[in-house]
Amino acid sequence: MSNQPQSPLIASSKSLIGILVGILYDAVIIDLTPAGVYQFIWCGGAATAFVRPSYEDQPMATGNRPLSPHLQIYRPQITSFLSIIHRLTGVALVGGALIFTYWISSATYGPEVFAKAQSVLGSWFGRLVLFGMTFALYYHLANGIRHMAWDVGWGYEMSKLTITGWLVVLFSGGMTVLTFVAAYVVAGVL
Amino acid sequence: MEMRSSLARVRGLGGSKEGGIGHWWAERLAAIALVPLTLWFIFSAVLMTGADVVQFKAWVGAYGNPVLLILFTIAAYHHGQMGMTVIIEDYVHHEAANLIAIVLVKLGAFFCATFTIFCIARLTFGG
Repeated sequence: MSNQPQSPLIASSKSLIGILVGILYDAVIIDLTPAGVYQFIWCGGAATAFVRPSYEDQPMATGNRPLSPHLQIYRPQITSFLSIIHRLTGVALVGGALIFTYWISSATYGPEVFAKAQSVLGSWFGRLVLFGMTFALYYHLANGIRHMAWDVGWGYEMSKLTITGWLVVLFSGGMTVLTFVAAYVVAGVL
Repeated sequence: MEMRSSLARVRGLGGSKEGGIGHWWAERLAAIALVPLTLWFIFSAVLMTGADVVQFKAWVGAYGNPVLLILFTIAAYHHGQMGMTVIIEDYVHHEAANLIAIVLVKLGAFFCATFTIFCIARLTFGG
């Protein structure tokens, strides 16, 4: 590190929880370079939200310039929260695609392998994962349609953003439960 | 006016590199296809709860289903690969790590999609 962050919060935020939150926050939101991760651990998480990651290769010294208040400072808003969830569900669904490939391909290896795959996916853990995947799928689908509406220029007013946001939450939550009820009916449990 | 240095231009640095619009459009085209395909897939997958391999092969090979499954596979991996590329571009700032991650994601998606399509064909035509 060529220059250390100068935030006054650094000293007070060097706690274990701060570090853990910092690593999680860093991994999800900010900066995955070795320097960025190091800076987060050094600052114990929260304080780094004020400080721009320092890039040694940049010609001008931009390392310690203050940022506008970041996510942890803002009151949680449905708009920003849903935006982050959209990206997280997108990443999760890549895992979902791999599960889909596992499921399809298992059937080509014979009845025992497919039965094994079905029992793995039907176990409590498999059902938990599939529940999450189902929610992620419905959420990403519904919020994706919201994105397409923005792409054609519709729905940027705050009132519409809030309403469509809550519609996405209601739709994805409701459809996930409905889908699982349907699956339990098909399985003969309900 | 060109704001980039010669070195930055050679390295392809800058806002959208080459083809930002093409990437944006392709990701949305796959997204549009995925809306009906995903709803169809969830409905079908629910019906396969607890199915054995005979029922499963009958579903995969049923009229129209192999085509829909292959379209779903292509659209899902194509869209997923592009989304992951954007995320890597956003968060992985180390130049070599960024390049390696993007190459792995793109080749990995290509492999997984091809493998899945092969399996769908095999389940459809027997063997």
